[in-house]
Amino acid sequence: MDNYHKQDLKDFLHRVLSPTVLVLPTGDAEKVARKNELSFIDLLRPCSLVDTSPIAVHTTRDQPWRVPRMNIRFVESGEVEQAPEEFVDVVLDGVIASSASTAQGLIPEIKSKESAALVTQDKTERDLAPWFVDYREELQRGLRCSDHEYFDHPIAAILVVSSQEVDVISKLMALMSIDALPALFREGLMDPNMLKHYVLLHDNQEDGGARERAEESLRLMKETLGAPSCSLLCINSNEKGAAGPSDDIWTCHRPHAAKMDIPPLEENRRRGAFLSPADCDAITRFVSEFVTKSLVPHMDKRVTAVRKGIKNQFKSWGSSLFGKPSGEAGREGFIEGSEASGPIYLYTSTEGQIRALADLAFMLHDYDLALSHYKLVQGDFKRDKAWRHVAGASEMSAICHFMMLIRITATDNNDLRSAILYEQVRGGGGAQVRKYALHLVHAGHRYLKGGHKAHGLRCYLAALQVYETRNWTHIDDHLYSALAKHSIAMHMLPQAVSFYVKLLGNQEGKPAERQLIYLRDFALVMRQHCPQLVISDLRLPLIKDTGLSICRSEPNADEEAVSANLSKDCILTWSDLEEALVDARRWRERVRQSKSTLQNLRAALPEAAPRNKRCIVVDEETTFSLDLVNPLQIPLELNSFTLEYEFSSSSLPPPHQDVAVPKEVEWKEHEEESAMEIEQQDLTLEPSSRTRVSLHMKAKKEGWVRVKGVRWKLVGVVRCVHHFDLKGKRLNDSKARRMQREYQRDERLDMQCVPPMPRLQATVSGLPDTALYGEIVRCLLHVRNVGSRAACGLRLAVSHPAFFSRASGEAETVEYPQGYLSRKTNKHEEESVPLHPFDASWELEPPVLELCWGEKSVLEAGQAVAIPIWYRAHRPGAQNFKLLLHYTSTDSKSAMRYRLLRLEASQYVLPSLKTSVNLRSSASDMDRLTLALTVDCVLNSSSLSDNTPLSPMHEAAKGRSKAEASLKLLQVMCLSSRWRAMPLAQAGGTTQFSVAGGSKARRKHSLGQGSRTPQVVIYLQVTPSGDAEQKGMTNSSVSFTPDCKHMALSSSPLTGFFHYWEQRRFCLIHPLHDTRELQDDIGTRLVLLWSTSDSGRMGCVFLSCGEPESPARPDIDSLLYNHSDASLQKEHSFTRDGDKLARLAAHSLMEKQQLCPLQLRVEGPTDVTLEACGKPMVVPITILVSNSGWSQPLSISFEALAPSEAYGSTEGQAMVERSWDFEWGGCLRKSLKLQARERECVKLSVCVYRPGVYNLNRFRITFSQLQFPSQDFSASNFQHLLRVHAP
Amino acid sequence: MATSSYTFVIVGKNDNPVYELSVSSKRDDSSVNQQNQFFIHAALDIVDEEMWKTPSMFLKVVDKFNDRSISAYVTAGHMRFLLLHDGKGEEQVKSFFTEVHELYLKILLNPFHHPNDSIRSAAFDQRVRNIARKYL
Repeated sequence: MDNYHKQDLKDFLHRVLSPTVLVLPTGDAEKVARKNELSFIDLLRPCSLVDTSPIAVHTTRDQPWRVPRMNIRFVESGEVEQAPEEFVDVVLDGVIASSASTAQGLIPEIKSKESAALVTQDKTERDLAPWFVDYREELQRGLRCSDHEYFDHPIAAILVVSSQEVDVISKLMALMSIDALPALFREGLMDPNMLKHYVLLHDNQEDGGARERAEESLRLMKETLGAPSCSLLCINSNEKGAAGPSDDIWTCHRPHAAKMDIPPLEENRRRGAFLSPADCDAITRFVSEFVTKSLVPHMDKRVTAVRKGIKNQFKSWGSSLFGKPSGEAGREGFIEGSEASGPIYLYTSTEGQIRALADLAFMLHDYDLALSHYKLVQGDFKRDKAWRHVAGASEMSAICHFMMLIRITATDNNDLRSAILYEQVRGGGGAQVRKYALHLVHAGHRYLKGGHKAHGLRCYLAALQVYETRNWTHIDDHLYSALAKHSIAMHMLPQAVSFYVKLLGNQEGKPAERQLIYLRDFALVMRQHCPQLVISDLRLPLIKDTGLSICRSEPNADEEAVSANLSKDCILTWSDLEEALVDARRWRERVRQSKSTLQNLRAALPEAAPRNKRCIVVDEETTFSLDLVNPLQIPLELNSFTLEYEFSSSSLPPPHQDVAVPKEVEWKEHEEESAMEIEQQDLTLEPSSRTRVSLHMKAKKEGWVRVKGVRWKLVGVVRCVHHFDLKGKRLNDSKARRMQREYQRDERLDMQCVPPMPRLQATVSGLPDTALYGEIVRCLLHVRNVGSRAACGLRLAVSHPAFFSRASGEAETVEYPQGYLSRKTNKHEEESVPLHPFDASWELEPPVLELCWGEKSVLEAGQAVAIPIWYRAHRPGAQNFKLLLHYTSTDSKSAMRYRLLRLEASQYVLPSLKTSVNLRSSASDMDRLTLALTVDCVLNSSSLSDNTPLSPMHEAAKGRSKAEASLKLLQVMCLSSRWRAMPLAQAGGTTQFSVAGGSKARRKHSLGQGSRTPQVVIYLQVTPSGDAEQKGMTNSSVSFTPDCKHMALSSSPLTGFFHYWEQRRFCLIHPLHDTRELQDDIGTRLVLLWSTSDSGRMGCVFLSCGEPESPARPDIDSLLYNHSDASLQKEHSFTRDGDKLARLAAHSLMEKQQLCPLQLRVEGPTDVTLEACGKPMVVPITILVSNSGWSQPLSISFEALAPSEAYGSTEGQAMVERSWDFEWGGCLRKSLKLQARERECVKLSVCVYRPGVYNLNRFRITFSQLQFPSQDFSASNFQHLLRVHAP
Repeated sequence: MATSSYTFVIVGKNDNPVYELSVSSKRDDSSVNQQNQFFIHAALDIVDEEMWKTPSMFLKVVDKFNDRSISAYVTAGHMRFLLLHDGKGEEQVKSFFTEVHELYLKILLNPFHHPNDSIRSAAFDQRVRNIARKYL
């Protein structure tokens, strides 16, 4: 308790626990006072505070001291009795009720400790709770004269007679007689022998001689009654009608109970009309003199006297106690009472006197004395079981200690009293904010029970400040429900509704019955009081703004997230595809910069081409979907759930309010002839569930529409509105924005309504669920125009450009695949193919197919068309294709530039053939090459097991692969600018490889799955085409089918895919090599055509092999697609990331292989006949050494070995016996330096003696290069046999 | 033995309840819950005063409402554990608090848990109930 409150309480106690003076006027005296519309006691009351500092008080102490001020309570005889409790309650009710209006504005802003200290600083009790001060006074007054309290016992009496009386003395005697005194005196509870003071009241308006008569009477009184106790008081000096004191200083000092029954003043009368200022001064002076000269000395004396008396009494009482214990019954002034009321002590009893003494001491501020006597008397009372007296005495001792603790008992059945006390206990805030809040709630509860709603609400509101936002759910519930209920009763409707809204928003997880009651109450209140009110913040149901999705007839980038989960392997998003379609420049720049930093990319990207605004086409439906969550345990009924929108027919978007201005929400029903057609739904949400609701909207007029939110009628009554609060992208380009968490404005809900447009629907047919790797399929894009305008400019952006190729116009008429195979006369066909210039910028082109049909490629309204598209399974694995169809209206002035249509397809590509190619120099002819094409059929279930995720699609694929177990090879095409291919057998001439497999016996074109060797090796021989300098390429094709069917590379399905493959291969490898060299020689390309055994499905495999002289160049495609490592296949995609991977792989392969750049061939006769037995024969031999490397020079040392040297180190010479050996002749050692792609010949001679077969591999070549420092050429598997026949 | 009724609350720094457990032998009555919340909230004043007077975390009985006592325990992070019970032994209450504190530390180890967020873990709830059954 701070000092303010201490002082306040002190003042109060001094005021309340002050001497009582009984005022007894005679009837005539009263009449004199009544002239002023005031009773005599009213005249005294304003002067009740008397300055008593001039007089010294002794009581029992040695040192005198002064009481600074003393308050005197003047009472009438009617007030000296116990007030009936009901009456007191009525009075107190009145006090509190009259302060209701002031209470409303007095809610202290106490939320935490700090705010509490601030608020209570420099505030008195009257500032904080004025009604309490009044209440305290009245309560005290109501409790007067109870039989266990002594404070109200009058200490003195003022007897007033009028000067007009004839016999003043007898009148005074009559007033003083015991019968005239109040009943309590007669009963002996109060001491009638009090200090008496006699006043002669003189009316100055009495004319002539009255004054003299009064003087005479006074003299008489003084003689009879003693001079000090008599005084003359003259009033009514004012002439009638003269101006008296203007203020009514008297009525405000009346007790509240007396105020209530003041008779209303008559017209033209006012209080104190006859009192001049001199009169008022006289009264004040009289009271002051009375107190200082008579009352205080009397009290002082009395304390001393009574104390002495008590001491004597104790002596006798003590001896009688110990002497005869039964004598107690005869105690003086002690009346045995009933069990309930306890005993009664008359003023003559010892206890009564002690108590009176203590009270007097207290009034004279002698607290020590008072306390000791209170304690003394307390014990006595306790022994007598006079509990009320004990309590009274204890209370007084407590007060003496200045520790006024108010005991609160919850069982106190007076609500008002408990409420008031609870409120005071809060201690005015202070440090214990939470206790304060609890007491406020108690107080509020009691106030409300007692019917003081305004005070109850005030307490609850103050408590709410402490509890709010702290999530004490039960507390919040209690406060909100009470506040809502009683606000209604107080007709504070907006407040009540806001509390109901808060209450219902706080109901998650509460018992269902309670929720039902609250909801019902709320609906009832709304129906009865404000059916028109629109509530915008009710969270029933909960609406998650982030869950809002808008589905227009036109797809937009906003919906990307919905479908994004499908396409894990495809990095391209729909918006990327849209960019490819409408903004090729930006697309190219993006691809070009794909390896640079984000910053560079941003700098390099050109300004985006204008895209479509958010358009909705008139008469086309837009769907809004949102999630509604019912947090309650009871079903929630929503009626006419619909969208709230704003429409303007201007061509400009509506302006944005930057700050959300809390506008008055209005409720308009959707009209028939409005601009929008919006669905209304009646919903019932299941308890604690989430429901997805879709609302359809259709524009009827052109203009701009802004969807603001949704609205519904809760339980069919309460009008609720929810406004969407959507945020755009987070802005984080500057630090300030990052710190403040700024967001872009969300413009999704602003939509332009544009005039009708063409609208296409499209499906893709013919695309198999599972395809074989390399399979070529003709699929059809069925497009139908369901709009009301003609569409043109159809283009298709594809996420996987390697898989799709445009078909030329005739494709739809020819049957596939049979129609595409043309019969040729010769099995071995050649055609000339123009050399495509390679362009590194090819890969920057956006993956867009132009779709053409008919003459104008315009699709009229209602028309349908099927457009063929070629598909080739470019790589194995699961594929998710995104196809974005782009079209425009034929009307060039249309507000929408273009429209888009999304198509999605997914499929699984099974591996089919695994191929590799090996090109080596023909041993017989330096100019010829042998090409070994190894084909593995991997079309079996084991190949699928690599793919770990076994989806249903895989299962289907497995089943299918079993059914079509074998593939047929149809044809192989070889493209080269220098070489052409032909079957090995047809080459004629040398038969050097006939043993190894040139025979047709091993050329099995049907690859069985179950056979032990599914691998097939096709050997072709490659010869240089006539003119090496010729521009362009030769396509030499070899057919394996009996009917020699060919498919031309230059015609439809193959040319597109081949071109793509070639360009792409070029783009992949060109960073590794010099472009000029590549242009010059890109190696040999092979195209292998296959079909299923029933010829229903056809496909092709593209392969490449380097020149034999540049073995270091790997075949990237075989690396990528025939590689057994499944992860590599998956990772690769057409995007730049895939490229990077491929390049890395290619590079590492080259490093590892370390292919030998040295090539060796021995030229010379193979069969010779000895001229004569025993005679040696010399055969000339030329050894050709060439550096097939790409760039590096080789230094070579050649050494022909003697037999002894050779067999010591070399192995595998089983065919030639040692004794049968030959001798070298000629230059046996030679050092050579070969530049890249240079050849040199070493001429030697061989000397043989006997017939037989000789292996001429008896030399050693050492070469060194930068890459391969000094290596032996391993020639062990090289053999050149010389057969020597006998003569 | 009839199960005793008690209310255990972990109070965060903003005087917000982080975790609440209320067990009552009587049927679940929301007015009882309400009262308990009021009492526990009011006892925070005393806890805030008491905790500076003793070096130990356990503050014994800090407040009484009618015939029910409130014991408190303050963690190093100033999370306040309050238990409203009808006169349990001091040792029992202390053991209860200590074990719940250990459990609470495990919740704090979660890097995604903010100390002032309410604890919704079902496992935590179950374990606290087990501890309560053991001691209270």
